[in-house]
Amino acid sequence: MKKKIPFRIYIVSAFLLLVLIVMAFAPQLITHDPTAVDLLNKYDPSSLTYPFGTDDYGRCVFCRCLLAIRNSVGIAVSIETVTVLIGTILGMLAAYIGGVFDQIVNVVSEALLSFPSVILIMMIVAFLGASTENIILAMLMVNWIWYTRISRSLTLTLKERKYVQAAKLCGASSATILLRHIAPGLMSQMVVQFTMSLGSVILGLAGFSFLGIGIQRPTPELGIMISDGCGLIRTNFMVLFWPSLILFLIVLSFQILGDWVSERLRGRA
Amino acid sequence: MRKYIIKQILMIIPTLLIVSIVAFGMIRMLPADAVETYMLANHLEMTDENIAMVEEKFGLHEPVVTQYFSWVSAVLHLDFGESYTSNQEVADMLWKAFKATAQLAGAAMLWIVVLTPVLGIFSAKKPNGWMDGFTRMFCLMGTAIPTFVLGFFMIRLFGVQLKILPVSGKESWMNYIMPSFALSLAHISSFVQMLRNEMLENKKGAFTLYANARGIKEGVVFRTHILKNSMLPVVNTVGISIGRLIAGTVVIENVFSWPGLGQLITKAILARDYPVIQAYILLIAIVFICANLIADLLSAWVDPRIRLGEKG
Repeated sequence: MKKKIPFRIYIVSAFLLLVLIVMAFAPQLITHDPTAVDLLNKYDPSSLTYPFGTDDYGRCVFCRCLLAIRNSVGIAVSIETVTVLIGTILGMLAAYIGGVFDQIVNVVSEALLSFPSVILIMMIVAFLGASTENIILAMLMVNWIWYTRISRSLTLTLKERKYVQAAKLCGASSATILLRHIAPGLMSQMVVQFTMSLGSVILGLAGFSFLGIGIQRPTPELGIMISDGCGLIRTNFMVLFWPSLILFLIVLSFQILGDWVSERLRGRA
Repeated sequence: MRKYIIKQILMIIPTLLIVSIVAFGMIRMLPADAVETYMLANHLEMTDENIAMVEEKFGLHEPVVTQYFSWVSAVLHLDFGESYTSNQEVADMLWKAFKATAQLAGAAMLWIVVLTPVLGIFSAKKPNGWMDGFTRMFCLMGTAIPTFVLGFFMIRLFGVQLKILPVSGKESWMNYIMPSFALSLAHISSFVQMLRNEMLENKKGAFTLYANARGIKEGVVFRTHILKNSMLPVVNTVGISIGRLIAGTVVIENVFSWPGLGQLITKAILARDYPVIQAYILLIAIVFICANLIADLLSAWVDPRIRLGEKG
């Protein structure tokens, strides 16, 4: 049964494709130096040279947004990719090896899960100090838990399948079994999880940057731009508006895409 | 029931012990030296004499185990020491901030408790009708909009342009409206989606079919058979979400300059104010443990299957 792809998915995909193009070609697309201060051009309204106007330092908001998309989405996607890899491998090993190793992984993830991840990440940053490297490290240290749990429970069932047992009887090594027989079975679930949580990882990263404990200035980033613009909320709302709108649209698109992907997979299973 | 409660309470002790060791160990293993941070914050010169004085002040010259126990006994007397940056008592600062955060979270809970059933019933009464469409749109937006973006847009609209709501401070009940709504929106969205799915599931249930076959009025079936059964898992999750609600205040408090825990901890992290961070970890751990306990008890109270010990 082949279902029709809903119209909203086309729109969302087109938008995300645009985001991808912006990420790839941001340095070529910008017309002004995004860090160049020009105090004579403060608070320019939207015009052809400055599509989104200029901010309180006379910097081009449009160019800053383009670079911020590249940083926000790029860093979040990298964090998420590494997290999925670590989480999946750890969960697979825990389920496959079992015993004490499995117990340790289980206890640690149980303990971490009893606190909201936002608080855990903040505590790690509090301990290490606020910097771009540390927020990435902290998010990696906390976000693996979900993937580990999913991949662990999936591996536990896959391990008992006939073809895995057969491979074992044929004398296949553990590495072969894990890579060629178990990992492909995890793939689709992991892809769904990856798409579904991308939005919240982007949101989380922007949130920490907004608070000042995430990515540090002067790197243009959506959360930082929103934090910089919040003092202008009464006088020059547009400086705050554009990065907020872009962040919202990106998260919304990933959310819609993730919902659709998981629905499709559930329909198939 | 009593046995269940006692068991749950006893489980807290090892958790608290571990948290206390982590919170204490944090200061000991700092990448930045605590003495140095204190001296920088108080503009003291780095002389041997001053270092010895500060070490004496914080008891750093004693063995680690002694330090841990004297720290625990101080904490048990609610003495968390002084903040590095403001020289205020940490316990006072934390208590004031905690009250503000609890009030905000309480107000957000009110939104959740009122809006979730209303929207849930709205959408489940006629699936795929226009009200359902509206509710689903609302939920999708609610989960995708970053709380700080929502907060700023509300401030701009209601505070700056329409001038009907105050944008900061916490003097009157009017001040609570915007921050608590912004805080609750993401939660409401996920609960409504959950309630809607539960209701649609229960609508297909055998007991609903039977009640309809008996000729019971549609409204009565909806209230007693569908709604009541659907509320169970939602009540459960609302209990668990108390912790997440408090975590969510961190961002909202910074948007609305709410003088709560979230603002306190963000400032403390940026200033490396370790006594505040240490006390915050302990406090937040206790809050989460209590919240989880309340959630457990709540679900035991509403669901007789748990209360009467049906062990799967």
